[in-house]
Order: sequence, then C-alpha cells, then structure tokens
Amino acid sequence: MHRIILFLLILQCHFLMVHGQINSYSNMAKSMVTSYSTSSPRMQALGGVHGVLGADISAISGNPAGLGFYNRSEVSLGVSYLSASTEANYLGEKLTKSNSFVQIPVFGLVLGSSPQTRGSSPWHGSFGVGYSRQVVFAQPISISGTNNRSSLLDRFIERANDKGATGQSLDDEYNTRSNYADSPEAVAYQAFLINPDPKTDAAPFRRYEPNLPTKQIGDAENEGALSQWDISYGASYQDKFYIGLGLHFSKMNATATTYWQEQFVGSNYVAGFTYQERLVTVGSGIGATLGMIYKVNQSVRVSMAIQTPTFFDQMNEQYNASLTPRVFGIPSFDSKGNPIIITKVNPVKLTPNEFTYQLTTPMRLSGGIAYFLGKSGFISADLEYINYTGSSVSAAELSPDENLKFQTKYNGQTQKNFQSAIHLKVGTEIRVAPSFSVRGGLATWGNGYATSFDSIDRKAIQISGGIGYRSDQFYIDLTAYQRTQKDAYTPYSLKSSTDFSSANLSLTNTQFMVGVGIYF
Amino acid sequence: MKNQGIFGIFIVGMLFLNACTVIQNNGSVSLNQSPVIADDLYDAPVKSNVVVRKKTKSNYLDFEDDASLLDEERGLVNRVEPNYLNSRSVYSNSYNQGFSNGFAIGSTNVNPWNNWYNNPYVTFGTGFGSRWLSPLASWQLNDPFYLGMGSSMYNPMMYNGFAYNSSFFMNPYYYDPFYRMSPYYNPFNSMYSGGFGNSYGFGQTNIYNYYGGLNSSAQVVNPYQNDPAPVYRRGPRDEQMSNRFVGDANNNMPRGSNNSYNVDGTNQPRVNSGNSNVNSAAPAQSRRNTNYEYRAAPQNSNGSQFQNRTENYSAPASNFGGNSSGGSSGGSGGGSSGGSRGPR
Repeated sequence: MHRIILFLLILQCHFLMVHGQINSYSNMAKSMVTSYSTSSPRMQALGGVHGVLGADISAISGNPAGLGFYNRSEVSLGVSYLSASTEANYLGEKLTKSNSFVQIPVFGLVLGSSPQTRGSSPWHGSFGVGYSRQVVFAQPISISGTNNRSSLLDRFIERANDKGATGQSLDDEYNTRSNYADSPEAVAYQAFLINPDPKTDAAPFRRYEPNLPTKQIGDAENEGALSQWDISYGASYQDKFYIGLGLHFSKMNATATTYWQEQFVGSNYVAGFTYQERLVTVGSGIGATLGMIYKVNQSVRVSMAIQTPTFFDQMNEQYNASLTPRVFGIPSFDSKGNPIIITKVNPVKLTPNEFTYQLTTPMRLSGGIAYFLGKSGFISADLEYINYTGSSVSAAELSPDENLKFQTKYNGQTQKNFQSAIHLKVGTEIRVAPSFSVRGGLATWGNGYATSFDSIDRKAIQISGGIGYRSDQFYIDLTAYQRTQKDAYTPYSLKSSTDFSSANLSLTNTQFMVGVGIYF
Repeated sequence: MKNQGIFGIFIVGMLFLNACTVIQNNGSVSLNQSPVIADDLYDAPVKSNVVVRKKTKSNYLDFEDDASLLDEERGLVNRVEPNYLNSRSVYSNSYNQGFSNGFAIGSTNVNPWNNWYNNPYVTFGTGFGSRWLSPLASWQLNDPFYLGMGSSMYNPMMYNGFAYNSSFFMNPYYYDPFYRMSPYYNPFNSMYSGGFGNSYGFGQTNIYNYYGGLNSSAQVVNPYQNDPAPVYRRGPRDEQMSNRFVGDANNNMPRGSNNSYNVDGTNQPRVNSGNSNVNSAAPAQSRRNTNYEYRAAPQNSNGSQFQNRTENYSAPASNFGGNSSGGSSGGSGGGSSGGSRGPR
C-alpha cells in the first residue's frame, strides 16, 4: 500500500518542457550527441557511471550487458527537479536568467529470471524496455547591453547591399495578402526600417540615425528534448561474462524562440523594434548499442560498449520570424504621392521556411572499470570517446547538386569546428548500513570544439552525491548534482568583426532526482 | 517558485513515507552481523537446488524422452495446486458448443452481426459483399462485377430496401465506403454516369458536414478551399537566419555563429559617414506594404513639406564612453510632432 501511495505521489508531479539552445545544423548535431543526464538517479549520484555496474535500469539505454546481472524483475521511475541558470556578459552588462522545472528523465521495466527458475544452462538473461531523456535543452539565455557600434538592422543592410537589392526588388519579395516577405532585409524594408538611396532607389541601404547608441535586449528560450525509447536484452554466461544488445528509437522535439529587441536611444524617427525568430525541429532516429561486461574476479569488472551512429531519417524543421517596428514618425508618401507621417507600422512576417534533412550522429565508444570492496561498496569509472567530426547532414529533398553543396557547407563546418572529446566519469558507493548507501561522483565532459573555433573552453564539470535506501521489495534513491560550463552567444554577425559583439555565458545546471523502483 | 513549492512538498512527502515504511535498523549493527539486502549489482545469483535433468534426446513421437512430463501427465506427480484446472479439458467443450450453437443460429437467423448489408465489414468470398471492403481507390469502372450493370434490375442496390437509394442510407451515421471518393470513380455519381448513377442526387456523397449531402440541393464544397494557400519556402534555413555563418562554407572568419565568441568587438561609437545624411530623414519611398497608420504631414511656414528635426543627443553613460551625463533629451529638438515621448 505504501508503495502504491509512493508511486501516486510521484506521478502527480507535473511534467514540464525544458529550455535550451539550438544552433546551426552542425552545432545541432554536436548538441544532440552530448548526453549529460541519461541514467537513473542512483547512477547520476555516481557521476553518471553505469557502463560497468549493471543491474540498473540505466543499462537499458546504456550498456545493455548490465541487464544480465538481474536476478529478478523491476519497474523503476525517476523524477527530477532541474534548475538551469545562465549568467551572460554582453557589452559589459551582466544578466542572469534561470529556469526550473520538474521532469521525468528515465523510467523502465526489466523482466528478469529468478535463479530458482533457471535450468542448468550457463546462459540466462533479462529483457528491458525503457524511456530516457538523452539531451535536455535546458539553458535559457538573456542578454542586455548598449551597443555603440551596430544594430541588427546593419546585418539586414549588409544582406541587401550584398545582393544588390533595390526598393523595387524588395517590394517584389513582399506578398500583400499574406504579409510575408521572403528575406529579412525585405522584412526590414517593408517595416520602413531600412531605406535605399533616395536618388537611385538602390544600394547602399541605410537606416535612420545609425550613429545613435542602441539598447539591445535578447532572450533565447527553447523547449524540448531528445528522448529515447530503448529495447534491450542482456545475457549472462556463467555469471562471469555479460553481453547485451539494445535498440534505441530516438525522438527529437525542440522549439527554439529568440526575441531580439532594440531601442534607439534619442531617436526621432524609429523608436526601436522587436525581431522574433522561431524554429521548430521534429525528428526521429534509430541506433543500437552492443556492450560487454566481464568479471575479472569477484572484485574487478571491466566493460566496453559501442553505440552506433543514430540516424535521423526525417529531421523536419519549420522556421519563421516577424519584425515589429516601433516608430515615432517616419516621413513618407501615400499612394497618391501626398506627404504623410507614418505613426505605426504593423508587424511584417518572414515567409516561413520548411526543410527536411537527414542527420547522422557520430559513433560512441565507451569503457569502464569497477573495483568492489566485497559487498560494502565499490568505486567505478567510465570513459567515453566521441569524435564529433563524425556527424554529418544531408538533404535528400534537394537536387543532387544542391544536396552536395549543403553537405559540403555544413559537414565542412563540422570538420573544421569540432574535434574528438573524452568524457570521464568517476563514482563511488558505500553501504553504510544493510539498507543504506551513500554515493558521490565527479564527471567531466570534454570540449568537443576545435581550438581554432574560438577561445572558450567549453569543458563541463559536474559534482554529484546521493543516498539510497534499499529493501528486498523496493528502493528509493535521492540524488543531487551541479554542473558548470562556459559558452558563448552571438546574436548577429557583421562583415567586420569589430562591429558586433558576443556574450560570454556561464551555465549552471542543478538537479535533484528521486528514483523509485519495485522488484517483482 | 511554484515548482519549488511543489517539489518541496513532494520531498517532505517522500521523507514522511520513507519514515513510515523503513524497517527499523539498528545503526550499530555492522554489515557482518546482519544480512545485507539483496542487490543484484553486488550479488551473484544463488543457484537453484532443483536438479534439472538435461534432455539428451528428443525424437518425434518418442514419449519416453521426457520422463518428468510423462509422469505429470499420468498423474504420478503430486500436485501442489489442488484447484488446478486444465483449461484444455474444461473449457474446450464449452467453447466448441458455443461456437456450434452460434453458427447454427447465425445460419438461419438474420441479425446485425451476420448480415452483410447491415454490417459492411461482413464479407462473403469474392461476391458483392467483398466489394464493401475492397480498397476504394483501386475500384475501376471496368471492374468485371459492374460491367453490364446498366439495367437496374440487375443492380442489387437499386431494388434492395437497404441499398443506397433507400431512406436507410440517408442515415448520416451509416458508413459510406464511397465518401469523398473521386466523382469519376464513384459509382453513385451521376455526372460521369457511374454504374449506379442517376438523377436523384447520388453524386453528392458528402453527408458528413453541413455543406451538402445526399439528396441535398446544396453544393458540395470544400470548406477549406477558400483559405489562402500556405506559403512556405523550402531549403536550409540558415540562408534566412540573421545569425548565420557569414563567408564561405569552410571559412570561420569572421566568427559570428551564435555559439562562437567574437573577441574583436570594440563597441566604440562608430563614425558612419555613409549614413550621416540619413539623419535628415529623407522621406521614405512608399512600399508595397500599406499595413500602417499615418497622418498627413503638416505644412511648414517656409513651404517645405518635411522639416528636418535637429537631433539633440548626448552620448549615454556606458562602460566604454565614460560620459556620465548620458541620456537623451528626447524629442525636444522639434519636428513635426514636437514635445517629448514617454510616460508623463
């Protein structure tokens, strides 16, 4: 009865979406293969070490050989409270934004066999099916600063000038019925924020009072996660050698929204504008894991696992944007040529963009070792190797020539901007009482970005700890961890790198987890 | 904050339940003195004491190859489940009897479950009944069954009281296998003289919305056809995003993707000579976009239609400029509207 109440109490927790950041195609592949929170609360307390230990639902999505350790069946559920905060430094101003929510990062079912029901065969095994959130886009970004140098409108002006646009050509990009313009520069033009040369009606384009400082405020909010359904089987041979195979069905569902607001300080014509962009990405992929664990003796275990690239056959995305100008008074002419003062311009939208492409994440290799202190505890370590340059994108919907250009561009960026990385996790558990354990862990994720990319070391460091209570019928684990990392965010770019600025980001993730499992 | 509260209550509840359910443990008892709770992560499985004989031979129809099974079947093994019932022996007769009775009744009596014209999912072989479940899109006018069916006396649907031309099929809840079928292939469509077409309105098979239906004089229209067609562009989105990479495909300079860090930004006030004349705010050319509000431009005393506003601005305080006076004097410089803007 108590167990039922416990489950009901957990299940009534609200399930909320999470936030994060999605970048270009090459950066997205990198983001999707870097998994921070993928295991049960017990293993999270150990720093995420689970490759070599076994007998935990983390084996379903991790090293399936660990399922061979099961001598009974189990159903398990993890609930976590995640708080993500970002401190941004943009143009000398610091701004912190945080977000917190409750999520269910993992649950699963393992069907094992009791030793009493096994025959004399040296083989036995367990079947597991589970759900896990591989990547949680959890980081909100909010930046603010006074830009004396440029505006996002300068980006649009550069684009208009580069393609030799005229007022007429940008008019041709605008559909009066749908209020859509085909390019950001056409959107800005239809919003009366940029103007061609009044004499030639052509480049160079200009904006009003460009020498004024610009107060800039930016927010990036994303929702979604890369979740995964796993079906795995792990077998044991004479309880000494374990081997397992898992199939992973991934589901990507992410929505990225950015709000960029500018206010022209002291302006007489244009007060400012808000440019909102929204990117929705939905896709599904499939991958597999083959793993092995070997008991060298009663005290030492070693493991190895290889995870195939996850192939996302249909990554569907939709991108749209809208520009909402705020004007004081723009002199212009009406359709009859009479002079007017425009006092309000309604939002102008960018023609939505849809695209379907294929994404392949790189292969992952991992190994682990554990040393057991009898039944009093253990210390374990996992090492994971990922070559981020192995990810690739392609687009079958494009023509062969365009597809080749697409691959050359973004796979080239992947090759240039990324490198291989090693993720190291170390954890220990001590059984302080027959039913109680205390745990601690340390994990670090390698940078993954090439040194030529920029000067920021994006290595993530995580410390974790937890306690667990275990009976013959059920268990409860409590875990807490904190992870810190550096990153950067550039709201827009211009030809001259002296004209735009980036924001330094300090990312902090704190998570409290509760894991409950029932044996049967 | 709400989430923190929920989580706090949850944690308190967990601790409370944990305190209620935890078996009392003596903290002073060492691991050596009390049994450790089973944990498969640590424990090797305990071998079964039951000796299972390995089957060495398995010949078909050799009933002696599995002695334990034969002993059980012969009743030589003591059963520990006194209420055990063999489902094969107990229920098979009942099932067979029930099936036999149902088959006999269904063969001689009509009910909604065995009648093909009441239940479109009931089919009999390749006859007419099977037509109801055949893939509609694959039906062709030269289907052999419908050839030569111009005469209504051979048309089972024209003279059947439950066929399409009867009031029975005007029931909008009836399953219509030809719903929204292409009129050309719809046998009930009179326009193309389908196999069952006539002038009684059978071409209108849209009976599931308010825009028309069987025997309705209303036009069958697609209520969505007048909506503006969605406009999308297809292709890589980075060509549209404001923060895309600039430069060539493999050129990472100048850096500017939204995840990279540009260390060259100066934020120094720029002298934009090319844009200096825009401060005079030459009248903007009219655009195709007319979705704006405006008022007539006032005439100035000197006759010009637009008066250039004198920008009255001093650099704001910033971390870079060092000018503590900062700020702007708003629109006090004049202009057509005059006055300052903002909350009074």
